[in-house]
This record gives sequence, structure tokens and C-alpha cells, in this order.
Amino acid sequence: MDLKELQQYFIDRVEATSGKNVLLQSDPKFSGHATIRVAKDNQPAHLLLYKPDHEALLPYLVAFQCEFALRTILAEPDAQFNLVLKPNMMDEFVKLMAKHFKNDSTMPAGAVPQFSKLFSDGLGHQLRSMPISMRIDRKLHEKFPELHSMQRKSIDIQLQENVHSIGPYAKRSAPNEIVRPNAMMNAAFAKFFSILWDSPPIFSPYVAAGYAQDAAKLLEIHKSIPNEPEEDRKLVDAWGAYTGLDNWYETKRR
Amino acid sequence: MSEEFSFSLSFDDFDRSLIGNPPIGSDEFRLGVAKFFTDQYQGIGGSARVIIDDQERTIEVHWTKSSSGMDPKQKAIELLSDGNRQEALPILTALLYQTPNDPEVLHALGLIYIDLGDFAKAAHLLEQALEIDHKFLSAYVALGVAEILAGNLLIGEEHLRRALKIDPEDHYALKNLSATLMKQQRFAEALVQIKRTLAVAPDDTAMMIEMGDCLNQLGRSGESEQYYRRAVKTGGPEHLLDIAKARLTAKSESVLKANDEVRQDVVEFMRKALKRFKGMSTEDIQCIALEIAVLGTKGLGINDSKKTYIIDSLPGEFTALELVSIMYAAFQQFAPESDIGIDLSVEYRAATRD
Repeated sequence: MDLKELQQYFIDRVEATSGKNVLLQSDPKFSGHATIRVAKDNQPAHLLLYKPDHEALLPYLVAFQCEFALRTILAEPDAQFNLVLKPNMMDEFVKLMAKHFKNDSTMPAGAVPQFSKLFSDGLGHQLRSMPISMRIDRKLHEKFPELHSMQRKSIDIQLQENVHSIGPYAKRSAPNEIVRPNAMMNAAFAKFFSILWDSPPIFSPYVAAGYAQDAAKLLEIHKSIPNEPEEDRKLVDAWGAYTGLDNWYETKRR
Repeated sequence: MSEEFSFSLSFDDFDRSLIGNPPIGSDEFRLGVAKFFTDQYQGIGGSARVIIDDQERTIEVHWTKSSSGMDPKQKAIELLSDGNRQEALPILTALLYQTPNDPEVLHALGLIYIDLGDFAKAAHLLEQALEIDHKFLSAYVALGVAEILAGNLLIGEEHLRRALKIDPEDHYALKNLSATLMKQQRFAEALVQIKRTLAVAPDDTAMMIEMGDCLNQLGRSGESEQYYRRAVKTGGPEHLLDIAKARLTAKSESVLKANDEVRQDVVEFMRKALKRFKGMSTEDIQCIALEIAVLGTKGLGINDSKKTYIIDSLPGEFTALELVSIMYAAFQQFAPESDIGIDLSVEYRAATRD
């Protein structure tokens, strides 16, 4: 199969399994690389959005997103879940942010709630997707060598983006209570790929910043929970508990 | 295309326990930080720059990956499989320093030391790999080979048998086990393993020759010829084909001269040939000899009197024995010192005596 055929193969799998079409749409305003919105019962199609900047990696992005969707579609209804904010979350978040920017003239007080919402969405998305994404990436790496090069490029971009979470800018942008869980998950992600690709430098920034133990623990949890889609909720809950994010987020049946 | 991976850390965020807890910003701190990152990136490929900014109190690291984009282990293993062990060795040595418990790195280094003839070092590395991964098939095979090459045939055999417990159809384990059993002259056991090897690798020319040799040793030389012939027909490295052909020639000769008598038929063929040569130039005789020699590389069954051959340089049809006799006589005309692989000197002397 060439890469175009492979891309179609993943789309076909989602369509055949769910009985609904996958609409592929480029969106320049989209902030991530790609995402799939799995159709709810009353929606006619799944929507796979991608940023045109990453078009060159589209076969990998489509493969990844379709695999992600399949984990949801194939999970038993009881095991399907969403990650939701706990009632106290936004209040606490805004308070922490307001305290952090108290003496910072670059952040107007009125902008703090909006900034907090941005961070809380990002952190929640990371907790919901990162531990599962590693399972998908391992599968793609092992079963689809055709995608190796694109996968590497795409993950390299993510690793470069993620590593800022341990830098001085991240510390200026948010308080430690928010930065730390983010960096812990990024460390686990980097360690995972440093092992998968046998490339220790990917992980060394996190070792230097003192996240080696947290990364090892999160990967240990990752390994201890079976790989089936039905176990994804348990995995997200366990990462939430270790990082302390369970104070702000919880999983709920879909 | 080279790609850069870069990041920065505040002095305060660097985990000083990694470098012996020096005071932040001290010379010891700066040196420790630089050494830490240098060690991390050493031998990985590409280049790394560590910038320690005292004013901003930050550490900046810029790692430019090598243009191949290939991870160092993969690169080293590819270099090794291409035979570039001198290039693979430093990369693997650096990787071993960083990941001393990586069985693949230990295995790859073990293979290099086998090639370098340091079997003790190879065995040590491979044993380490197996301590970490008890089911590392290729490491068992390599350890078996290292021990055999070191002269420890029984130990080597044991490792190969362990490999075969993991995968009973592993070609290299079967092949090396066959070879070590042959070396130990345990021919009946070798025959079983050679058959198994040929079952998983029916095109393995070396094993076909080994099969023929083993059958000879077991007194079943009647069956061995077909395996040498299969080897020649299958093709492969030239040195192996030469061995197979030499075995066939030796077999033919031994059948031909079984009774240690002068073969009168050969004497007659040579006499006829010598008569023909009388009116020919040396170049013409050379042409005849070389044409038959070329034909012989495909295998001439000199004990088969029914099959006949036609050549361009002489009219008529000839049996293989007749062609070989003509060739022998021809070579005596212009290059009597040549070894054509069969000794018909007694017959030639008889043919020239009258």
C-alpha cells in the first residue's frame, strides 16, 4: 500500500466500523495538528480536522486520528467516556492564575479568566489524549513501518513544543500547580518515545529538570493497565490521580 | 535536512543532585551542567551546543540531529549489516555507555567482536544481553557461534539448542548447529539438523554441500552427488560453487579410477584426440580445451556413458568422459602444468607411448 492508500485504509476502517463517513477538513485556525470529532448518535459523519501546515504528514495524522476514533467506537458503550471539569475547577484555576499574575503588568486582571480557560482546556485535552495516544503510536510504529518517517517528524514537532513546559517561559505563564502536571505528562511522553526509538536525548531535558521519576511512574502505570479500549478510562483516571489532576477533572460515561 | 531540538532551563530548575549538588551558578555547577548534557548527547549523532547564560540564569541546549534522521542504534545496526563494523563500533560503544542494559546494543557489539576475533569479549557481551533478555534468540545464536569459534564446541552447541527451543526453525541456529556437529564428527546427528536447515532454507548452497559431505561420511556417497549438483544448479558465492564442483570432480574421479586400473577407453579417446591435434594450430587446440572447460563448469557426468554432447570446435557427438579425455590431452599440448581437476596422467602416458 502506498501512503495515500494507507490513509484511505484507516478512513475505511472507521467508516466500516461506525457506519458513518469521515469528513476530512483542513482548518487554518485549528490550534493543534489534527483531531477527529467522533459523530454522536444524531450526527451524520465524523469530522477529521487538520491544520494545513501539517498537510505533508497527513497520512500519519489520519492514521493516528482514525485509530483514536476506533478506540472510542469499538469500546463497549459502558466504557466510553468523556473528561469533564469538576465544579470547583474553574474557580481554583482562576484564583491560582490571578495570584500568579498579581504583580505582572503584562497580564490585565480581566484577561485572567480567559487565559485560565485556555490552560484548563489544554491540560484536560492532554490528560484525556496523551496516555492513549502513546498506545496508538506504539501500534502504528509496530504495524505500519511505512509511516515511521512521518510519525517521527510529527512526534518530533510535538516533542519540541512540549519541552517548553520545563523552560522559564512556562514558569512565567502559569503557576507550578498547573505547569508541573503538564510537564510530568510531557516527560512521560518523551521517555516513551526515547525508549521506542532508542533516542535518549529526547528525554534528557526532563531528566535535567528532575522529572525522571514522575515519567517512570506514569509509564509504569501505563504498562500496568491492559491495552484494550475498555481500559482507556482506567488509564486516564490513573494518570489523573498520579499527577493530581483528579482534583480538577473527572471521567464520565459518555 | 538537519533538524534542531532545543530547550532551555532555569538554573533553579536543573536537578543538581545529578551533578553532586554544587551551589547554583558556581563553576562546579556550570561544569557539571555542561558535562551532563555533553554525556547525554555524545555519540548520538549530530551536534549539541550547551549555552550557560549567567545573566539570564538559564541553560540553553541546542541539539542538531544528524541529517540522516536515523536513530543511532538503527544506524549502527545498518552499518553492521553492511559490513562497516569500524564505523558501527564507536556508535555502539557510546550507546552502551548510555544504555548499558540494552540487549540489542550488547548483541550488536557481540557480533562485532566475533568479527574481530575477540571471542571471549563477544561471549561476555552476549551473555549480558541474555541475562537481560532470556528469550533473545539472535543472542543465543551469536553466543553459540562465538563459543564454537573459540573452540568450545559443546558449549556452543548448547546455546544453539537453546535458540532452537525459542524458534525450532531459525535458519542460523540450525545451520551453525549442523556445522558444529559435523566438526565434532557426529554425522548421524548432523544429518538430522542439515535436513532441518534445508527444510527452512532450501536454497542454502552451503548446506547442500554439507549434506553431501555428511552423506559421504556416513558411507552413503551414492546419495551425495545429487546435493553437490543441486548446489551447482542453485548457484551462490563462487567459493562455494568451486567446492561443490571440486567434490563432483573428485567423486567422478574416484568412480572412474575405482579399481586403480588404467582406463583403456580414456587411452583410446586420447589417442584419437592426439591424431586430430596433429593438423591443428596451438590456438585451435586451445579453443577446444577451453570450450570443454567452460562446458565442464556446468557439470559433466563422466560416469554417464549414455549422454552425449556437441561442441563447436570439433565435429561429432561426445560422451562427457570422451570430452574430458580430449581436454586433458589438449591441455598437455600447450599448458601441461595445468591442473584440470582430474588426474589422467597414466592414461595420457599410455596414449602417447605408441
